[in-house]
Amino acid sequence: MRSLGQSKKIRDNIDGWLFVLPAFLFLFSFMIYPIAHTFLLSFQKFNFVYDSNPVFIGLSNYVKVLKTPLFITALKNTLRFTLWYIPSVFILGFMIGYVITLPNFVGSRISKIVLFIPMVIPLSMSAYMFLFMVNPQWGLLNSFLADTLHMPMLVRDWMNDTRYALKIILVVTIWQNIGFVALMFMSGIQGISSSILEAATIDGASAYRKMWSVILPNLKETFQIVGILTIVTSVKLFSQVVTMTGALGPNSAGGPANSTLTLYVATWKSAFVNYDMGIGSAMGYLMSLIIFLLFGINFFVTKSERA
Amino acid sequence: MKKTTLILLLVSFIFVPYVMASGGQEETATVSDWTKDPITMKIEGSGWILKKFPIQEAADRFMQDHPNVTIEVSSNQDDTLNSYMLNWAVGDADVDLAFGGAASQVAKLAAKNLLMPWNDFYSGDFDAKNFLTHSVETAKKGGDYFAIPFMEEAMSLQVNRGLMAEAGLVNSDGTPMYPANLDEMADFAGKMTKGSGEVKDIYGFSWNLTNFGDQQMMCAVNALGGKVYNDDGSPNLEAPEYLDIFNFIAKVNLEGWATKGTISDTNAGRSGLKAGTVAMIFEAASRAIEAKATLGDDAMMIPFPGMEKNGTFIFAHYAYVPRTSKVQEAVKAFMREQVFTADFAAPAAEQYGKLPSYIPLYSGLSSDFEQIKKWMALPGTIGDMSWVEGSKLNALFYELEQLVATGGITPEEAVERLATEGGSYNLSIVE
Repeated sequence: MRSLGQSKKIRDNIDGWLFVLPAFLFLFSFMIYPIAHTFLLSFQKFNFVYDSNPVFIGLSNYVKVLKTPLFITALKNTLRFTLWYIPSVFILGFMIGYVITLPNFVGSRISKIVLFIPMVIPLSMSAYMFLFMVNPQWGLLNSFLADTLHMPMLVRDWMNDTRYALKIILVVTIWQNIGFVALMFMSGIQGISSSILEAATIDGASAYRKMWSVILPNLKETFQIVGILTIVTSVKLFSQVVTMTGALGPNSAGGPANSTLTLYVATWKSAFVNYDMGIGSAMGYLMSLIIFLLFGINFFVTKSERA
Repeated sequence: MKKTTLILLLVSFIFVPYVMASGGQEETATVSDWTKDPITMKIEGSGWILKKFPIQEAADRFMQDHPNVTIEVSSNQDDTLNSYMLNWAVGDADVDLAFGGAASQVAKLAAKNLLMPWNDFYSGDFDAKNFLTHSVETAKKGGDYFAIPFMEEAMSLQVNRGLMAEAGLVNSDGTPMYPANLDEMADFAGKMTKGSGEVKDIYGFSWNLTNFGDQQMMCAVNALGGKVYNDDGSPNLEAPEYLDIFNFIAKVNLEGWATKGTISDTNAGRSGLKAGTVAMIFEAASRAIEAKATLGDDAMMIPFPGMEKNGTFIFAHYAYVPRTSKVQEAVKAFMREQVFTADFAAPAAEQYGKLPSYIPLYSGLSSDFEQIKKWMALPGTIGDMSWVEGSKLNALFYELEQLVATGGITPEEAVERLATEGGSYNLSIVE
């Protein structure tokens, strides 16, 4: 027979579980179950439209994906984008954030507003805006090159040229996100105690020494967070690509000639254009693996700095 | 007491949304007599279809004839039809009649058994023999016609006769010359291209690199005398003509005679034709009709090399009704009374070149359509097919065409990949 105390404990626990239940149901329905189900699907052959039942095929989807030229192309493009995007955002974001915090910088408030504007513009609108600017016939960029700089030899069909399309998307993505990164660095710099900087000045530290020995080491947490955000942004690159290259249908997304095809776009095409849920799921898990790998590198680099 | 109330509230909070959500799956009874009961019919169409076909006017006329019927017309924002598949699979009766989608696209809805069969519609004046046979039969699965064709496209070359004349490519009577083979067509493209540098003032040619993927390729193979389909209806991806076509694409693009604009804007070719910056495009013949708005009679259709002998390639767009619709009989009446009529079909044909699927409507069309009707009637003319993994093949065509057009791979490599990768897809007919 339960004691009075035990019954009360059970009742209290039931209350607790009931309070947690809505959140748990939400998490289970929209996160835990889809993640687990996708994992299961990645080992199955299942065309969402034409197969009535999934068939377990072991690691075949993973093997097939790794042998598919499309996946290799998407992986290369994603890594190429990441290698350009992360350093660009770090360097530019830090520089802008640092300049804004300088005491004698007069345009601090207006700069913060200007930096915020790209963040509040929807991604698709930014993409369209840039698409208009790089239009080969009436775009601002070609007009500027041909009419203002008088260098018609530099005029290009930017988005239809495999050499430039991904770079244009890179510019759009940097433009969209640089403000947020700069503000992160700005708040990180402002969080450094002024007494540390004053002490360094009294000790006769040069501006270079202050930057290298005081500011940067104190920003390691900011670097870590910005690192995580930029990795996720670059590996999950999707909206800009689909808007700028696939506005009129999924078939054109990732063009020209797959030069802007990223892992996320390839995964989406496999799962929701070709309805190959097994292949799409396997691609999704491989993409997650790459993200975790990059997180590991990010953690390792920022940890080394700490040492 | 307070605790009990709190628990009840929490339980309601958790379960009420689930109960409400599951309400959407409930099957509701079909309207017993649509001619008397007040009913609402929801019609959706792709944006371009609503623009080019007078669907709202047809709805207004139908409502006038049947005062108990209210029709709501709206645009379908999802051309992939995925939202239909998801909504209709859980029993949502959000649409009663949908316009737009090739047979290969609509087939996926049929594969999920989501569509009303049209078998009993094909009788009397609307007997199947009064429609373009291929389009009717392409939308058939397991003995049921899952969609009904209301609009046809046929492929051909469309040219700006004025630009051809400037390049000396017209006959003594002013009519445009027809290219006899792919080399001559490339030569035409080169002669009509104007300007220097990477971006030209006028491009001689445009091959759509993001739309009409399989239709263009297969039309070209067929026109050149190749065998497009195997006996089981699967595509013959080893036809030798593919190499000639890839060679042509490589030549005109790498020489700078063709615009690559269709890579990022599928309408770039037709827009260029209308604007007078592209001299010749290979797309659906409707482009020449719509270009008359800006080019006048200079906008003309001419045959792709070999098309006069071997025929063209036709494909339809379809209307279809979800099984969830409660007003299926009213929809059929709407189709009979309003859609397969000259009032509905003629404006779309004369202004936008959209051809009717219902043969009796051809008698009222203008002489602009004489040529394309002639090519469509040739015994060699073929139509599209619905394959299980047809979307993969379509995507592969785009990929290979774009790679060849931008110099990423050679035509020989493209042909090799088409045979090996395309050959690995399940390209059996949807049955």
